[in-house]
Amino acid sequence: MIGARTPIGIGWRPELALAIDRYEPLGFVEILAEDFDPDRPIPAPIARLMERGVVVIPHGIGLSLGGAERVDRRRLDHLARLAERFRSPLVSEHVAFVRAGGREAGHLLPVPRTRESLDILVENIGEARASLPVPLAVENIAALFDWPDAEFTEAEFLRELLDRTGVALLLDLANVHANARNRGVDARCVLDTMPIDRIAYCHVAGGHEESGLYHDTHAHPTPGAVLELVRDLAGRVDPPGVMLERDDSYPAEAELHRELGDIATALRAGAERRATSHAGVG
Amino acid sequence: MSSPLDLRGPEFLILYAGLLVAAFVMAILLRRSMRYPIEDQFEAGGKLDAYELAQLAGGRVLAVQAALAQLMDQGDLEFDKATRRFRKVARPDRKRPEFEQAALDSVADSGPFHLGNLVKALATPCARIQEGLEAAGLVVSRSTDIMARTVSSVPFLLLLGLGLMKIQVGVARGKPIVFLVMLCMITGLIWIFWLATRVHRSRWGDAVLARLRRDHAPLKVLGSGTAPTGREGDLPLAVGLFGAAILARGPMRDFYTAMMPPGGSGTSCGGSSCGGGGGGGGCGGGGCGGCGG
Repeated sequence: MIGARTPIGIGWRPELALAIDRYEPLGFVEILAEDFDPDRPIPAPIARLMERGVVVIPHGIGLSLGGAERVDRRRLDHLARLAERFRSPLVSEHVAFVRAGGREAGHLLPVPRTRESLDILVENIGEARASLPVPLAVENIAALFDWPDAEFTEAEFLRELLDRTGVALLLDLANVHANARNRGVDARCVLDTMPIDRIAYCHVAGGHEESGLYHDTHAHPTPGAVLELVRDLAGRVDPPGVMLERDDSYPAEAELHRELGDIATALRAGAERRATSHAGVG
Repeated sequence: MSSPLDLRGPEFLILYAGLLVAAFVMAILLRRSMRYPIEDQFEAGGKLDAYELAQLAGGRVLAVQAALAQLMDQGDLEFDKATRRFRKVARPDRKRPEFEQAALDSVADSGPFHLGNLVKALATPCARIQEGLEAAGLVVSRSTDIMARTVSSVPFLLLLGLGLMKIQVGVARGKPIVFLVMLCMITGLIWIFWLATRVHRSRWGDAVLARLRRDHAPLKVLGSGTAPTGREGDLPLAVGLFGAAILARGPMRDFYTAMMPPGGSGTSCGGSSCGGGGGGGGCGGGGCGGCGG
C-alpha cells in the first residue's frame, strides 16, 4: 500500500531534517498533518526526499474519529489536500477522540470498546473515506486506562472496525507494548490476536516508566521489547513499512541512524524466521 | 512636441517621479546584465569549502563568522558573554583548514571582540579566497565590478541632469523649486549609494549559490536550540549558506548577539564586501508644488 522502495520510515520533524536527509535507505516519512499548509510550498528538505523517491504520508491527530460529533469537514479537506500536495499513497489517523462538548482534550483519548462507539467510528470513518482521495489507515493508541464495560478486546474491536469500514491498520507496536505492560499482559500474546493481515504500516517508538506506568513518550530510544515485537511481526507477515517516531530529546545523527538500522535488522531477522518456517512447512 | 523643461511644476514632478522608478528598473537590469559570467565557463562549478562558500554568499564578514562558529562548535574557542571576549582552548593536535587556523590565530586573547577588527586582521586569507572565487567565475572581477556600478548608475545621473536643468529654468522664471531640489538631492544620494555598493557575485555565482542552498536545505536546522549537532564541518557550511542568523536561537546566541551592531537588524552581511547585484536604496516621492513651468 505504501509503495516505498524500502520498509524503513521515520516521522519527519524539522529538527531531524538533516539526519533524515542523510539516511540513505529511507523508504518513507510521515508528516504531522496539522503542521503543514497545503497552500504553501513544500519545505525544501521534504522536496529533496520526494525527489529521491521517499514516500510522504500525512498523519492527522485532530479528526477525532471516535468522537460523538461529526468529523470537521475543514480538517478532512486539509488532510485530503495534503495527500494531493505530497502525492501520498494514503493518510492515517487514530482510533480515538480528542474533543467533546466544544472542549479540546489536547491528547488522544481512548474510545469505549462498545458497539455504540464502534457504530460512531464506522460512521465517521465512512464520511472520512468519502472525502479522501487516497486510502485511510487508523492507528491503535496507547491508553493509560480502559473504559469500563468493554464488549470487545482491543484486537477484536480493531478487527470489527476494519471489517466494517475497509480501512487499513496503522499498527503502533510501541502502543501495543505500552498497553500490555501497563495491564500486566504479554505483548506478544496481544500481537497474536491483532489483525496483522490488514497492516498499512507500523510505528515504533521509545518510552519510559514513571510511577509504575510505562509512558509512550517518543522521546527515548526504542526499547528492545518493541524491537522484539517488530521481529515477531515480521516473522508472521511482511510489513510494508515500519517507522520510528521521535518527537523530543532528539538524538545525534549517528544514534538516530543506528536506531533505524536496528529496526531494519529486526525486520530482516523476522523475515528470515518467516522464510525458515515456510520452508519447514513446505 | 514640447520639451519636458516647459512642463508646469506639478506635471514635471509627476514625470520626474515616474522617471525615477524607470531609472531604478533600468539600473537593476543593467547591473544584472553586466555581472559576468552568466554560466559555467570554468571547471570549478560547485567544489567549494565552507569558507569559500561563505565568502561567496556574504563576503568576508560571513566567512569570518562561519570560522568563528566552527571554532566554538569544535571547542577551540569559548565566548564570554559578560566580558565579550574569546578564550582559546584549542587542542594543538587538531588539524584545521587554513582559514580556520588563521581565524584562531587572529582572535585576540585580550580585548573585547569586535567583528570588524577581526575581518581586517584576516584580510590576506580573505583576499586569497576572493582570488579563487574570481578564477572560478563565481564573483566578478574588479574591473567588471567598477564597470557594472558605473554603467548601471547612468540612468540616475541622466535623471539628475534633467532635474538640475529644470531647477535652472525654475530659478530663471522665479518659480518655487523646493520640492524639485529635494527630489534631486534624493536622486543624488541614490546615485552615490548605487556607485558605492559593490557588485559581488556573478550570475553564475548566483546560480551556484541557489543550487547549493537547495541541495543543503536541511542544514538550516543546525544552530537551533533543539536540533542535534551535525557532523564536523556542517555548521560553517550552514552559516555560509544561510547566514549567521541561524545561530540566533541556539547555544551560540550570545556570540550572535555580540556580533550585531547596537540596535542592529541581525543581518549577516556587513560593509561593502557583501552582497550580490541588484537593489539599491530607497527613494522619496515628490510633493506637488512648483518647479519651473
